Amino acid sequence: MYYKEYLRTRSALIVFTIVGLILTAIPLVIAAGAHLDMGDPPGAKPGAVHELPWVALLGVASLVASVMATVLGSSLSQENDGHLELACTKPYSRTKYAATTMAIDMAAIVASMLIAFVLIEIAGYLIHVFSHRDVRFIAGPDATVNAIRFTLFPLAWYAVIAALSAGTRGKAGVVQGLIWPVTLGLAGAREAPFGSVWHNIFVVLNTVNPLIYASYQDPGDITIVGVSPLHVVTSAVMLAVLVVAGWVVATIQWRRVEA
Amino acid sequence: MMDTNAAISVNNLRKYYGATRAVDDISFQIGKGSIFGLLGTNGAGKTTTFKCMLGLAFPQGGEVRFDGELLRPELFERISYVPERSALYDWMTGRDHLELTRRSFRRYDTARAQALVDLFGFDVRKKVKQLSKGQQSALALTMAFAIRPDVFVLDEPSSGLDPVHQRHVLDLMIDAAARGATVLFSSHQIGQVERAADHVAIMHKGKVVLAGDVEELRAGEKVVEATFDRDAPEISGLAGDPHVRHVMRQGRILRAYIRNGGDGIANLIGSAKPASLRVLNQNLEDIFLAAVGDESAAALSAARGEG
Repeated sequence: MYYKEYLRTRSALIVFTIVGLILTAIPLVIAAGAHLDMGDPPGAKPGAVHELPWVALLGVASLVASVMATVLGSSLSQENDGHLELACTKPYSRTKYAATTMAIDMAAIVASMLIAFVLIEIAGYLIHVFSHRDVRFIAGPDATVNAIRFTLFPLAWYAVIAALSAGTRGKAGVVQGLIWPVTLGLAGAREAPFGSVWHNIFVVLNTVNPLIYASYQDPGDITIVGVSPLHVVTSAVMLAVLVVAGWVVATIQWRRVEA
Repeated sequence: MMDTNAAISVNNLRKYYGATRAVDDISFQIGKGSIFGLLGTNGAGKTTTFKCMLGLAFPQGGEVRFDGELLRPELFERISYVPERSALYDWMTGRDHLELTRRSFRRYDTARAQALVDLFGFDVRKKVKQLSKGQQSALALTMAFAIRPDVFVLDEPSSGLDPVHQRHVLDLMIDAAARGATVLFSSHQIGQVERAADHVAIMHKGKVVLAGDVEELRAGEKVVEATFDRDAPEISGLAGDPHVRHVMRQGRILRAYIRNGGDGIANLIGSAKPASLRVLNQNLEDIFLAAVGDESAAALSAARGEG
């Protein structure tokens, strides 16, 4: 029963990797040819080793993987577009089918995050080599919790899209297309200087916005999703809640769709 | 009355879409090893019936049992469904679909699948989007027959196939039934149904308007056909006769579809002095047209250029 999902996610991962390699190669080629002098970070001693927190790179990889999550988020909805007669006449339940589909999608998303992480790490290292600066990878702040949080972020992103689209037929593209501007808009509205009533409304709406929980600022110069950061543990827990809730809602919605 | 020995038992099934009664309280039973043809005009409710039976649509009432059991996912190990419209994945090849079927069903028979691929002669290396409609139907049928199920539910199984492959499908159905499988299928081609089915049900506007053994239906049913040298007249007492199921007047032709008592009806029509008068045995098409009534019969006649 996993075969179709295996084929689908394998294709997606191949495309993802090829695009990732191209996007990684372009700046490397430019950096190699330009003999960059990046200079030292503000406040650093001249010639000091540049410390690069890998957890921040994982955060960037997590955002990249959310693109993969956006693509895969419509898998259940795509079954509604004329394939239910095939999907739902196999000797296992719709719940099991949905669970299998989402589990394999999530595994592919984690794999895409690891691929992106490796590519980013290699690129980060090589750019420093080309710019004649020493670099050392360090863990970064709250490395374990942040690693969990960044792993959960694209999964929560996927789960939210799946929950919004699993009950629809032919409209998954709308969800996939609007999810980024809507979540970015909501995150921005949360930070905007509105009155307290509006601020509170946007705070509530943003509880289901995974972007809010991806905020990262380290003591150096790396910022990811620059909204007011919540406590990392709270963020990780909220992302886990979104994963589970999205999974459950998507399953319930999909079970109700008629062929 | 529910037959607990039936391979398929449909009881008081109802499915409404708003005010539309797509399936309106229908019941029928299909014995093991039987080939059961479901006939009906477009929109009669055949496909919706199949979907309700297989849990693909959720009925408002009624129940469906397979070998006495209510449908549960595990039963699909023994049930094959071929939908009217292709449900295959465009981006997957024929081989991918067969592999998907192999991994999904314990009963999948690789040799049987290869024999069916050879029979239908399609290229399993091609993606579905590269296959013609007929080849897609052939692939879906290959998947259905390769698992050697106990029950087939086939919605327009020969749709898009050429006459040679249509005959193959009929032969496969007859062969499966001979081996003990039960086949429920729909078709617009009444000749196919007549050739393969031992029992039929005729649906019209969501209801089963006629059901029974094909031979028994044909045996009792006759049509008295009269041609006049003027527009066919209304004949007093004809429509109300208890033997008359249906009267159709199309221009100069009058047909009375009757069950038993043909001689008396022929005499009654003969009293109106037709130019010619014949009493014919009904074929399944006549029975179908009589069952679905004036509206569909008139549409068919108009399409043929009659009347």
